[in-house]
Amino acid sequence: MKRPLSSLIRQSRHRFRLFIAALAYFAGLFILLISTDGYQRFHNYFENAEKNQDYYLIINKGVNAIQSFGSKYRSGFSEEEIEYISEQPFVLDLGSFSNSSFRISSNLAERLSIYTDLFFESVPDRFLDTIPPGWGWKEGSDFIPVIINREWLNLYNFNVSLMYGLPQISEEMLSKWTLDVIISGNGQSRHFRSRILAFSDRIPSVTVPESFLLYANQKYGRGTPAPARLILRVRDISDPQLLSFLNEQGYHYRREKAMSSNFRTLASALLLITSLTGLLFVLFAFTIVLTTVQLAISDISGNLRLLIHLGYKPSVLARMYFREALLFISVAAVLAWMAFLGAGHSLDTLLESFSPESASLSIREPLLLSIACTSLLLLYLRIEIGRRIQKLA
Amino acid sequence: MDCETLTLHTLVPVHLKDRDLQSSDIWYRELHFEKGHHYHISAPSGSGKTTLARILYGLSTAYAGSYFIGDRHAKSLDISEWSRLRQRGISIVFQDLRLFEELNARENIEIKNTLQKSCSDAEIDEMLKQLGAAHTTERESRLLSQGEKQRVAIVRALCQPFTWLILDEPFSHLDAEATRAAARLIAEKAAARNAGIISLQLEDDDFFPYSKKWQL
Repeated sequence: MKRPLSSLIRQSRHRFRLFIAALAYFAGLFILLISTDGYQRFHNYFENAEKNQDYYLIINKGVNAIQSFGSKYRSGFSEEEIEYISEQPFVLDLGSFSNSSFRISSNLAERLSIYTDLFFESVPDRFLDTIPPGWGWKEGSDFIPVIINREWLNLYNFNVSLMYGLPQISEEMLSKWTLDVIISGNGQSRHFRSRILAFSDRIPSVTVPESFLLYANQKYGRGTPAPARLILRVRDISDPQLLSFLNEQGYHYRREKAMSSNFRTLASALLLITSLTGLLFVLFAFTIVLTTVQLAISDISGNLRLLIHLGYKPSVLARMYFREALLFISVAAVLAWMAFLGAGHSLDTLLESFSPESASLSIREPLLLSIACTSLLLLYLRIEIGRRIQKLA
Repeated sequence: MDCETLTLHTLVPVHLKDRDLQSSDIWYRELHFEKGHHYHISAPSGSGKTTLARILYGLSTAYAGSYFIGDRHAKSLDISEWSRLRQRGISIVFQDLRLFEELNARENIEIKNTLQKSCSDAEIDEMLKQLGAAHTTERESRLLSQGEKQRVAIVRALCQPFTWLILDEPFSHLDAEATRAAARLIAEKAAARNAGIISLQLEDDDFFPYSKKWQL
């Protein structure tokens, strides 16, 4: 006997419409899940990028009036001071800037008329923000690789060159110039070739490999002087303990910028857009499903009314009608979930090689979200179907 | 729910309030319908027979005065209580018959019968046979004549337990012989259930052993 009643309530044209609505829900939910996954991946990526981003801090002692009178009073760090600083809990790593103690001149002056005498500094390689190919120096080599601070080139390009009408220089152009460098001291001199291999945002100096500087200081200079600057790697640049230590010791510091604010803005915008897109699609799908069901009920309202007049309870009819919607929506939700898993795993494989931290499909949040969304839709449908059929009584 | 007595207390449909109803035995009167008794209410068309049937069956609440089912005010019943009443307490043959056009005669009857399963297939066939409508069972209702539809509507109304049977011009499309057969079947089923009949007709008749006859 189920058949005649069922054929009155569940008509094939409604089934087709319900199928289309379920398809919309499938698409909406799938897009929501994918965007949640995208959100999660972006989030992991950025969080990881932040976590891996320790900060570098360059500290030096203040220069006072007495020190201005001669090199005898240089404000270097003693070994004890360096040890004391490195013992601090907030210091993850410490490196010294080694200065050159020999004379350096170059032909750079002939090309640009900026300076003839140069200076070199070095830091341990692990503190460099960029290690270009060909970096390093071995005894016997007459080539000195150099890294200079990018700000200096900017300073030249945007101030000096404009002021004196000199040509601007690009990084590529500068990297191609080979400079002749003459190192002298202790009654000897030697001719080297040199080239700028990279530009650093972190190290404000003319940096050469540490091995070269130690060798040259030994051979042409007075040994390596006590470092005037130290570079510290710290976890949190705004750690109050760190800041108060620096103040107490009277150290001046310069810190490297954290993740660029532009990058952060872009990241937040991306996260916002992906989540909003998903949400929007699922809302569209909700509307389509609801409209379809409302239309179908008003289409068969005559039959429903007569059934109620014959003694059928509106709640029983609502339940019957709802069961059909439940079937379609549940199947759509399960298929959307399966499609999401498939797409997620493919994305994992794709991302694994170049962004491993974002190549982990998160299951929990999307699963909870799809259960919540589907339950919400079904609950709303149940109430709406009940309300509409009750109204016919 | 107790529905052995139906009581109308100075009841009048809202749309008839402005009419002169002095001569009516129903409107603005105190009336009791007792279980097991048959009542005949006659009136020319347009005087509110179908309105009264709708009020008694709970399809209209547009009236002044009160209508009690047992000791319950009809307007206080919720839809579930009305559903129970329509399944087990009050049955009706609508004047406009109200069959599902897309279903055949048997399916139309089964739609009702399935609620309480009060008749077997054989009993349904027997009733249709008694009314001379056995040949209609597999035919879609929209292909039936008005007389055939009326027979199906009568059988449908009898396929449930009931204390009251409301008949709204139930024989209007039947010839004299078919009317007699239908009246006989209805009386028999009502007697079996010790049910009362409220028969709303255009004119006086003696289809059932009436306890009272009223003019609307």
